[in-house]
Amino acid sequence: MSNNLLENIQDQIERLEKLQTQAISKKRGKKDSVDTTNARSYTNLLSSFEANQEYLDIAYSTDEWLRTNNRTLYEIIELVNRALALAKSDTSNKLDPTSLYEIKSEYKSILNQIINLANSRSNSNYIFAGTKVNTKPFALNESLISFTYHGDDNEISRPLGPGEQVIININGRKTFTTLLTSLIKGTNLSNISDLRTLIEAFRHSLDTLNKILTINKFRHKQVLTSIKQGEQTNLLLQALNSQDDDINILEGITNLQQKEIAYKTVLEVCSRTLAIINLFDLT
Amino acid sequence: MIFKNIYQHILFPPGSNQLMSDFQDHLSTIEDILVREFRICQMLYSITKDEQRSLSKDDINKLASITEQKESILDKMNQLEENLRLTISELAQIIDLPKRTTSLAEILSAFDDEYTERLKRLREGIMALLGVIRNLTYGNQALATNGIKQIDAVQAFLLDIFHLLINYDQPGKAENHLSA
Repeated sequence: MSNNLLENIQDQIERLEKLQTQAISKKRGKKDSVDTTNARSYTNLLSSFEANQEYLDIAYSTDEWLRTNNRTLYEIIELVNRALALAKSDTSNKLDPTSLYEIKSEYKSILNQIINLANSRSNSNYIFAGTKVNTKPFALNESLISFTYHGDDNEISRPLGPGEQVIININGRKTFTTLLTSLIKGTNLSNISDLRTLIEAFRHSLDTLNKILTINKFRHKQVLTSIKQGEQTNLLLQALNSQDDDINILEGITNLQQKEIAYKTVLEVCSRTLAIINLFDLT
Repeated sequence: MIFKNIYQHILFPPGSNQLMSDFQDHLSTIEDILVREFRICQMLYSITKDEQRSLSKDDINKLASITEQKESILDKMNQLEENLRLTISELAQIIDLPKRTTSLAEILSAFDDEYTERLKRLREGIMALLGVIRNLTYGNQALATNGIKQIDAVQAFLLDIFHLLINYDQPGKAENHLSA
């Protein structure tokens, strides 16, 4: 009888210890090898880790693509500024045949450089070809009187997280048609009135390019924030993975990080709104 | 356009028709820009209200699309304001105002005809709308900041639990371990 009593007491002590563990860790049967909840959690953890890594890999390649967009657009804007300055500099009536020839060759050089930039690639994908990333999008004909666009107008979007997408490409046709047509006109100049019409066209192209650059920069900022958060999540996931711990905590933290990104973006845009409103006060 | 005040004779003496025409062209441009600014401000007001609703409801998916739209609206506003400033400075040159006079309110205050009155009212309308947007934006900033603080606090709490899990051992286990 006393043996039974001692055994019961021992059982009670063990149960109490187990309950203490559960109370602190808020989970059940940590060391129980047949605990199916734990096994499922572990599988979920691994799949979360893999999913997060996939999102991160996509974000890295998206970052590369958007960086190439930015760099290319900056270079093109610089060239368009040169083309505009050229159109403005000689609107007087001093166009002798020599200077006309010089202007035409300068436009030819700018045209070739812009065609090269419009055929830029990121990881061997043409960035201005729509979804036809393996097709060189822009080609000049030999007599320099027209160009052909071989891409399409489709958008490419990439997932950055659950329910979060970002468009990465820029419509090549819409962005470059006016610009290339004007430059082709520049290479075939015959009189001063042509040069004057080019000024408006170049200004319009600059406007379009600057708008596209702003949108691209915004998207790039989103991607960079996602990368930062994704890397943090990854570290956390690795830590959790090594300790075989509660998946609910992980899910909670991941969701919270997605929310944090959204709130931080709101704050940035709010600051920009206030800055622009302050600008209005000065006018 | 008929100017009723004395500046008309000083600014546009007889024979300065070209100057007068340039002046009117610039005022028309300013009116056009102001009308577009007013419309853009209405859009910004509406989207800022949406943003506030989404922040209150914690609708993260909608917030992402709102912020992108808002960026595009802000770009347009910035561009219009840039054009307005350029037109105002050209106008100031036409009517030979001192260089420091680059404010639209200051230029318009030199005239009291019906047309410039309309521009003044339009500008006042924009400023009033911007005042409302500014207050809404402060509110949204507070909501977003609050959201971030809450998230940080919950994250810290979760990490604390996580930390406890790592360091927890059954009572007496440490002593046994030491004695071993």
